[in-house]
Amino acid sequence: MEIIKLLYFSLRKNGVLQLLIAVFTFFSLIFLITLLRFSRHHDQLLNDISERNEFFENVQVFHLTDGHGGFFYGAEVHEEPIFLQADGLERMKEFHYNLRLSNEFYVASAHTGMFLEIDASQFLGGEAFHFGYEWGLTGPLADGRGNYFYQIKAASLDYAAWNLSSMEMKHGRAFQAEDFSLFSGRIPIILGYQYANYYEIGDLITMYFLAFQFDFEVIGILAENQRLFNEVTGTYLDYSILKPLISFGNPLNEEERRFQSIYYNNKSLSAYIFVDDTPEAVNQMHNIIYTAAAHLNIPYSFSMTDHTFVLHGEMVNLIHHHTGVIHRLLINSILLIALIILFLSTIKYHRQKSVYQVHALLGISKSKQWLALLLENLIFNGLTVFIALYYSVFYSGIMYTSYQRAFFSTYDISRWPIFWEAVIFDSFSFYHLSLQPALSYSLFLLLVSIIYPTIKIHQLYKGVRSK
Amino acid sequence: MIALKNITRTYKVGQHKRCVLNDLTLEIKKHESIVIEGRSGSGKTTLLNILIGLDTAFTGHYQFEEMDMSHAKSAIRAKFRQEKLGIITQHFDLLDDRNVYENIVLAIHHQKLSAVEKRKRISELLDYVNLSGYEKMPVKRLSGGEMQRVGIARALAKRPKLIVADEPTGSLDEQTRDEVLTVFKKMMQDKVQFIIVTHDKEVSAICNKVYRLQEGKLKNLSS
Repeated sequence: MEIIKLLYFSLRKNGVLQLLIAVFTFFSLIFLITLLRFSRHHDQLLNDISERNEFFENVQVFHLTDGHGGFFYGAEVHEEPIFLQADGLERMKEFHYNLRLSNEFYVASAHTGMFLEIDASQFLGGEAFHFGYEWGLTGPLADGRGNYFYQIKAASLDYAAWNLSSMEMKHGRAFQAEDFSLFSGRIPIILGYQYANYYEIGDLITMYFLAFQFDFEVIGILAENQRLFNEVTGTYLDYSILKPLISFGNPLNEEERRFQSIYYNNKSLSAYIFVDDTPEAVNQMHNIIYTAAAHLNIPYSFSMTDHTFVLHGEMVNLIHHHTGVIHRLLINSILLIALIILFLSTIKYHRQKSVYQVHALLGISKSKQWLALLLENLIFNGLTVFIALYYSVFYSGIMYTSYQRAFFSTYDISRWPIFWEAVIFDSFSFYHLSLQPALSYSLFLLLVSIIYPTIKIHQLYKGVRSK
Repeated sequence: MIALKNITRTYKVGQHKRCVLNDLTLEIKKHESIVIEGRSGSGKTTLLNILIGLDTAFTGHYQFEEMDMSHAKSAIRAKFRQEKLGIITQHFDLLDDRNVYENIVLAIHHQKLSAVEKRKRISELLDYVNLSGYEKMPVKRLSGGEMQRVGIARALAKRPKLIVADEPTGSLDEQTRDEVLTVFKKMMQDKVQFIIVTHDKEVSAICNKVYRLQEGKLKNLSS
């Protein structure tokens, strides 16, 4: 009862506590406003993504593969790879051309498996640009004649894939239809964002593609974090060269024929086929490709692929970006609030010091004073802990609903976070990012709530003795 | 009876030790009031802090009636201050954000008295120290003499066995000191037991025994 009375007197009379409430109310409002603004911004981005990806929402996507797995449609498969057969190149070109003629489906080719090679002494970039850098393949390769080459990351795409990918430019110009037409001496390229420090628009770079030397002209540099439509994460193109899948005229010799055969084989087999999401359209597409392939004796297989990869990629990027923002925001807020708490607690103690001294003289025991101060700290620090925890869950909820919306097309505002949801959500990782700093903050305040009264009451009695 | 036997208290000052109380012995009989005089730094406040149980870092033996205060735990010493002692300090130690009533009631909030009883007791005490009707007066608006009389009323509120006063007139001018002395004389007539630490001769004059604290020991000036 005595402790309650001490607490009551302190709470009733201490103006600093009112100040504390005012400060935290202020910060809470700022926090809330930031949150709402952020939420609206996030929502806008989601809408933009949805609009950009409207094309993907009502289609099924099939991927042509290299014919070594999956179901074969080819009626007859030659023992030799098609690009080694006498008329293999012409058949590949025709098949490739026919695929894109149909009005029943849409074909786009894009892949990142065909690197470029460059003279090691000519290359300006660092190891992160090397093909296979992520697996530790960074060293130059020797050609046996004293020359050294780097294999560097490159992505190839046709005009359809370029249009689907909706990439943003940092400098220079985007690809145009004519960049994908017949080879005319130099190949236009767009460099990834990280190349901006090394090359400029208009630079000519001599590189080897499928062992053939070409001059590549830099026409643009991509903005950061751009992706091909079939990529999930946005880091690859930052260190890569974007190269159009151009057309080649008739080969002049056997060497050129071999090059073009491999090239067209890759071009066809990196194709994604987009077809309306109806059984009739899918069957029709199967028949058309089957007929074309059988007619030309082309071995191929194709498999249905997950069309959500497009949304997935964009969403993962967005969620990663925003959880990063939230993480930084929370850590900074927590540090700031923690400093304010320490500062206000110190002021509060100094203003209450005379009260504690009088209490000591009147015979209120050290432990009771400690307990009263502890309770007071716990009440107010507990309030801020509650705010921190609630907001952290709230922020996480936004991430979670974004996730839900992106992958399952549900966006139920009533599912916005309350505490128990944090425990039962199967995507707990979304809470992890923002809960971690909030829990650290709570632990910090708990320690402050316990240690601070202990130190201060000890100092008080030491002071009374020496007074 | 209050008995201090062979009390020694030393402070560590840097590398050196300073002996403030040196084998001090004192015995105070029931209803006997004493004054302890001494120069600044002679150890008066240290002795007082030992008497009220705030300072325990001494050697020797301290007995308050049946209680062995030399080895009493913190909670026992706090209860001892709460129930048996009234303390008056030089700087009044009032809470200046509260009024007169709230300051005095702090001393008896642990007692099982009804609100009416508390009001009655405080009203009587304010009358006793010539501050009738001051209950709601904010402490910060009182003069020094009035503040000290509120301090006295607070010390008396719990009806203690002993009043311990540390330089009760040390912060007062001549006129306000007289107001306080009048109250002290009245308390003396009412057989309230005192230990007063002071170097004010007029305060010393109202008590029947005067000691001087010198070189860590007490010398009886009355005998």
